[in-house]
Amino acid sequence: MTTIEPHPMLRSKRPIIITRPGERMAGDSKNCIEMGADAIWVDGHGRFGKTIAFRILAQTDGWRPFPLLMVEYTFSKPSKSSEGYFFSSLLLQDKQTVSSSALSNVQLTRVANMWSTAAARVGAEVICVGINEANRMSLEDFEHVVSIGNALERSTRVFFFFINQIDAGTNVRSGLERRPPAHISGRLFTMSHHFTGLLWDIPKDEAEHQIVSDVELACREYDEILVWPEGSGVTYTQYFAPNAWARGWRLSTQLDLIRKTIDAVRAENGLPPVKDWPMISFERFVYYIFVRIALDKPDFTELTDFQIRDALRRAGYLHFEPGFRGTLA
Amino acid sequence: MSLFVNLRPEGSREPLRHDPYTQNGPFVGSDLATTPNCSAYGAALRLIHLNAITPTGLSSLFGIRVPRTHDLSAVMTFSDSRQARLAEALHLPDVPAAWKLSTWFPFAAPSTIMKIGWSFRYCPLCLHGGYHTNLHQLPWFQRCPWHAIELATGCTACGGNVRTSANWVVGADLSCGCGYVRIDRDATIAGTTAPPPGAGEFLDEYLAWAAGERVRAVLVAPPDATDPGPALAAAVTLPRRWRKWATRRTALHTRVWRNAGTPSQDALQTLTELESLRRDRPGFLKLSAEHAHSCNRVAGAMALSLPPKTLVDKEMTLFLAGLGIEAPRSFKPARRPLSAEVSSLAPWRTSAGNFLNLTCMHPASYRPLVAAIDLALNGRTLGDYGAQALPGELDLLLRCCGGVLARGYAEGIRCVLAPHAPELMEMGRQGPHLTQPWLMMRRDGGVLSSILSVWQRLDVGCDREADLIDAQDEANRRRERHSSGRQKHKTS
Repeated sequence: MTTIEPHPMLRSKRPIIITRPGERMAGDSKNCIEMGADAIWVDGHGRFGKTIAFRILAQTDGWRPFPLLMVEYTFSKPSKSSEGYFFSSLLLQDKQTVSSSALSNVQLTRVANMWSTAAARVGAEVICVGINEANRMSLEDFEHVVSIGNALERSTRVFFFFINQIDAGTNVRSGLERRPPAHISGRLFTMSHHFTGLLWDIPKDEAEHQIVSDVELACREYDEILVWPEGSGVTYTQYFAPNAWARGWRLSTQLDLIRKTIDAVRAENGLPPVKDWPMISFERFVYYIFVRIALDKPDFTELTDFQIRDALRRAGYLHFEPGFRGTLA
Repeated sequence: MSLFVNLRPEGSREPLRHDPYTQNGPFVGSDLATTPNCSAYGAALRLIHLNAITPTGLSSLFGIRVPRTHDLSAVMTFSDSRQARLAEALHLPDVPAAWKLSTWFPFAAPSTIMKIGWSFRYCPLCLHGGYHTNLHQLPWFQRCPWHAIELATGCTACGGNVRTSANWVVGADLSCGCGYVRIDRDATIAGTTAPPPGAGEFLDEYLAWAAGERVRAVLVAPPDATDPGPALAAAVTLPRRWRKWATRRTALHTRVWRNAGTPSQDALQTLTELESLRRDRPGFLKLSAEHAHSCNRVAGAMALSLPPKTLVDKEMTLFLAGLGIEAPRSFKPARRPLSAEVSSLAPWRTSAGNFLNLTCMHPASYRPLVAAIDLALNGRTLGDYGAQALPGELDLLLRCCGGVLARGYAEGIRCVLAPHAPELMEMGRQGPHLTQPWLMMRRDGGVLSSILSVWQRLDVGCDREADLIDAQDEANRRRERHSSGRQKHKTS
């Protein structure tokens, strides 16, 4: 099979893979929606893959307790938080034509109708709204969220994913400096999920279901699941390292060496032993190994310690590690 | 402990996308693909309702400027520029064909023929779900074909007028005095996913039928036509399978001429004489033998049916001269001097031929013939047409012209005589009234095969027909003066 399209790993936007942290988020989200909660806080460090995990949920059905509509927005920090700004921001992100002079209650009605219409189109019972950068939201903004919930309460149900980057500010959750009033906290601040990177060890409470680590599962996506060209059966690992593949090499076969090297790098930079791997640096690491090491060297058979260190450096590994205080690149 | 969820399906899976969300249009409910064949006003209504648009939003969001007192349903139906603005606001590549009213006509005619007497007409069940289609505006439909309920123009709750002006209160558009809400939010949201059940299939079938008919049939509307609804309802015959939803036939007079027979020797000459109808004030029309015969019969029949003491001897003689008979013994002449106005009503017989005085006729009764002749000529000269047209076509055209002229003449002399004979007012159908003919010309295989005429009454007020004819003649006279003056100015 031949194709003129470049390999997905060589495109400007590389493929998304399903990860265990995403599945854990799906599990907690399912629990919350089933229970009747109005929101879940997804806390995690920046660049760990929270937003992508939400997009994976938007494209997978296995976790959905009810027919769902998934929509996603990013909250931009206005100089002054107003109802009109909040609702028109949602409308504009959905490419809606908005009049600058429209009243905020008109915009609220429009947002509610927009989601209801989209939900009707896909036969959804619950509207799941993901809000990125929820850490920027102020108390007034949560009042607007409550207004939307009230507007939709009669006809449908809305569930919010507040995607909160915990290292973006000094507060643990959102930009709130004080505890929100009960009508807000009771609705929106009761459920949370801590989003991690790819764990190197299997959590004890998941040992019953999970056989291999998150990192190995992620590597297996490249080793076994993702194929190119489509339908060819040639996995990404096989595509970029055909000789090594023929000799039985896989990304997942050298994880012990990779972990050992990472721990060494971390120790050299005053960091504790590794627990999890941010998605951003993991994905860049895989890209570097495939495209810059395996593809450029036809005789590539397996990774060396030097190559792993090089790939970690190129992926900017240390810069995404919480607690790293080294110099900026 | 988190609930264990496995998102990895067995076997192959679709690649995950970075933007997995469905793209919305620029407005809530702007995806017309889910509501095909809706009207422009229907689309605007749904947008207004789902986007909570205020009257000022028409301009700021759609770029549509409409005075608030104007009927928005009429504006969105007949204004090409407003339709184009709405299509542009919805990011549509072109104005949808279904927005053009003429797309729904089973005959070729401009949408504007329905502008006079326009009123918003709807199916209450469709509108409840925010759906309106131009099919509901067609006067030849009385019931919604997929809901089988009667179409409405007023409020179904109180019978009052439904406000369709471009001045509404958000959430209360299309309301009336009783406050009945015609559009339901939840039903409209549900309705954005698909048209009412059965509508899509029916509308597709209807539009295909109408497009086929439009190739064959052309409608000739009278000038300054009044509400065309009744005439169009009588002129359009729906296929048998749709007749249960058709408008019931009204008491309008219709007549069909079919392509049969051969024209007389002087047919082309007759057609040439009819060219004088194009003049601003035709005055007198030279009649062919056939047309003179039918007009003489009209004049004779009218004279014989008039109440006693309506005409003087001389006038009676003139009216009966064409038939070659004399006044009956029972005739009782009027005791008044000979009236020039009355005596000029009879067909004129001179050595140059027979002439009809058109000043006694309303222009609406003869002007459509000019358009009918133009359509028959189809851009050809009279000579070419005479050489190329099939004999039956020419005969059909002339018989139709004769019939329409004779009826117009009969109505005209009744109206002009009415002030001289007040008894005429009491004669019911024979009394003075004016009609306008709507002509449906049909071609089969490229040959003019039939012409249907539907005469619809002109609403002129009580006993004012003669005044109206006078006024029309005066208007023709002014037009004639104006055009001749313009001509002089041009040449100088």
